[in-house]
Amino acid sequence: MWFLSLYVSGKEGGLSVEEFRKIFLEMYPSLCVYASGYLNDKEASKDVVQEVLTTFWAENEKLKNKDLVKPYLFKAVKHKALNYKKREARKSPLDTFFEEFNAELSTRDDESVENFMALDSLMDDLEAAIDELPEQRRKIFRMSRFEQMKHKDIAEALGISPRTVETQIFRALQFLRERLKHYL
Amino acid sequence: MGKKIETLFLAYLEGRISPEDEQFLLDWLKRNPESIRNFNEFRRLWNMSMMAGKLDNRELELEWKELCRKIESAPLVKQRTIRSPYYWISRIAAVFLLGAVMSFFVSYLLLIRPNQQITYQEITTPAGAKSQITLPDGTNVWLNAKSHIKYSSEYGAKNRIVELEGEAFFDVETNPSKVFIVRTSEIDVKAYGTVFNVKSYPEENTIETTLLEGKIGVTRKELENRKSDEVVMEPNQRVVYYRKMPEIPEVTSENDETENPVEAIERPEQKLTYLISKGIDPHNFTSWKDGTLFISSETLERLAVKLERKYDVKIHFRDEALKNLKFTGSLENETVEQVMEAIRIAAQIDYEIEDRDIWLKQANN
Repeated sequence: MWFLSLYVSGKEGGLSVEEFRKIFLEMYPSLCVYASGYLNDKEASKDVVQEVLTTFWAENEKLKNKDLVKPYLFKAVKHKALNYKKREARKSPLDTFFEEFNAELSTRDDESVENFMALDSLMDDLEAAIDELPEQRRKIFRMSRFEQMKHKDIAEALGISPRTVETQIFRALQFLRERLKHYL
Repeated sequence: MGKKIETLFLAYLEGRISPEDEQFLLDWLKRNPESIRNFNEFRRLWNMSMMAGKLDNRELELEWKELCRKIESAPLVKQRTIRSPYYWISRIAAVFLLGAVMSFFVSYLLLIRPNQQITYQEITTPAGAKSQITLPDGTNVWLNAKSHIKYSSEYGAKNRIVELEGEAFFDVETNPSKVFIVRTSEIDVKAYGTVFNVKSYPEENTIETTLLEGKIGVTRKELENRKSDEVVMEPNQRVVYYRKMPEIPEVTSENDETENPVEAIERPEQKLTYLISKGIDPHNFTSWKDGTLFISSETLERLAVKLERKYDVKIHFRDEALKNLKFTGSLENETVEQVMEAIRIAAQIDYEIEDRDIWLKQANN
């Protein structure tokens, strides 16, 4: 006996290459930013994200709910980043301290995929938050982070005291912490 | 938080802290555990903002290409490198006397190269039909609708080569000395004595190979000489080969005013060639030969192509939006009317059948 068993399945099943590419374009920068929060290394962050996406693609036929793609990716990137073994032998004691702290934290936090639902376009949110800083603070923060200038050089370039630069950087970080709380 | 601590922390972030100061900071954090979280968040934000604005579209394309390369190579079961046959021939030849080699060569020319015309056997199944063929060596082939298979009179002499367009299921007669090869437009599937399915319809974007028993190797035509690029499949695996990547949506680069137009044309070629699924139920992909059509999360657009082949009809869309509806299910001995009725009920759409033409449209409320 047979019977007709055709039904609409809007949200089920695997991804097409087109859909995968769309996810890549949308998520890749944000996932790299997220990973680099743990790794402080651009290349290592990309490695981690690429690895996560490779696994994700290989297993995407198991994907049951496309709404969970983003939270799943953030979660996977976080865990891969926490377990990433840096190639460089020399690691500063404070780096190790913070890495251990983050790893410890993640064993205590609720790490279910649903808990990553709030995470979205981290890259856009971060850039928007930086743009919201008052002009001088934004300028200093950009010189420090985008151009990787040391605070003394920024002070010299702007003709202000290193102390002021320091304060401005911390105020910028405080503001970003408020704005991006859900990513931290 | 103390100014001194802040100063030291910034020095640490900027990577210019002395080992003594770092130890001091570490000890301070251990004594003030309530501050660790704050500083940890500052550190993460500091690291994150280093990446802000760092990935432009150009870089993103390069990363995509890199990702495709990784996906393509990651699941491959790499075959050990096999030396070119000439390597062995040259060594074997060395142990023969020159005369022996000469006479062998002459007899080869006389006996094995008869003055005979090569003829081709071709089998085509129209839409709505299926056929089963037994090849000269006993290999059984089930040919799906709208498919075409071709082999020469030399089939079985040195090797066993068939050319395929469309879909076929092969139950290959075991003969380790004569490799069995299915040639499709872009890939070759090599087998020795196995059961597998190959789908290569020109109107579809993929060439799919599903293995039920034994072992087969899939090679891309363009890489034919590079043996190491053969994808070796185990039973219950499926390899999907993508003919071409979808067009990249045009990206506007507002940050890059100095962009050289010549460079912009030189777009990196991305090609995601293989996708390997392991531990699948091969039945889903081969059941067509027993009359069942499995549909797994397929868009109506793609389903329509399959229905056109199975029932020899032409399906037209009155509304483009209908193409993206997705269906899951199985079809067995239903008539085309029954299938359309199932689609109508499942998706709440309307259809009209006129002879061999079917029009799909939104339901009138």
